Amino acid sequence: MSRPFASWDVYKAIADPNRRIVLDLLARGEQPVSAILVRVDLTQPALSQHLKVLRDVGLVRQRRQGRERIYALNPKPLKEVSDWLHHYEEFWHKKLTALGEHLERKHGPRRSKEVSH
Amino acid sequence: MEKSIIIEQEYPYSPEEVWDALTDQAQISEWLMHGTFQPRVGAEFELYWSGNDASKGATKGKVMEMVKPRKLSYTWDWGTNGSLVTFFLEPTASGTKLRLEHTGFIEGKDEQVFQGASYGWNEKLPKISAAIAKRQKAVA
Repeated sequence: MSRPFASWDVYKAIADPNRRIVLDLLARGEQPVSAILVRVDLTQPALSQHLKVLRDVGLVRQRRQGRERIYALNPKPLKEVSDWLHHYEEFWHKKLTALGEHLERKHGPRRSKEVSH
Repeated sequence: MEKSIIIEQEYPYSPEEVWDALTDQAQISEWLMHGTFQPRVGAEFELYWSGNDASKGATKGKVMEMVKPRKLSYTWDWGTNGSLVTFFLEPTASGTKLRLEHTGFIEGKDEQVFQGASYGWNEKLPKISAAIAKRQKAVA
């Protein structure tokens, strides 16, 4: 249950347009499967399969209420995805600044006018 | 196509000079990482996470595209995740505008995932997160 989910799996899960529709629906609040089914262009088995994928990566949780299964969004894996982006955004900002410093060390300081193409 | 990370920066150096800094491992070691980069399409390489020491782990990559001195593209793999890094160089009045794009997926590794994911997910995520935050506030 508590295994850490690779971002790759989360990416794959949110890559599917139908699953994104389901996530959008659940972002507004928890929903019984029957309510999700009327909002998507999917058969019951196809929807069940998509919900299973979302469950497996931890993006949704289900609970039973009588005969209904209620689904709710779990935002944690989404945060992992944005953390990945944040991490690399910072990484590249630093590296591209370092690139500028490297160019200056290698070729000497230069003002724009001195550049010739 | 939408991209995950896009950063643009200008340098007062010519595209050729910037290109060499992007493709010559001796120079790459100076600003990015030590490793085994080779400026040849199809070449596989490693960039080391810690100094000039391969044993501490490395990002594995493969050169996908080279259009000297305009476009360089290579895969960037770490652990189970694949991604693609592309540099675009454009001559400007003041030197070179460098545009870096880092996407979360490798084209070809899972074409459908790449296209599906790059279509709108990074626009969608903030919306979903905002909806969650709003809902959590309403509950609290």
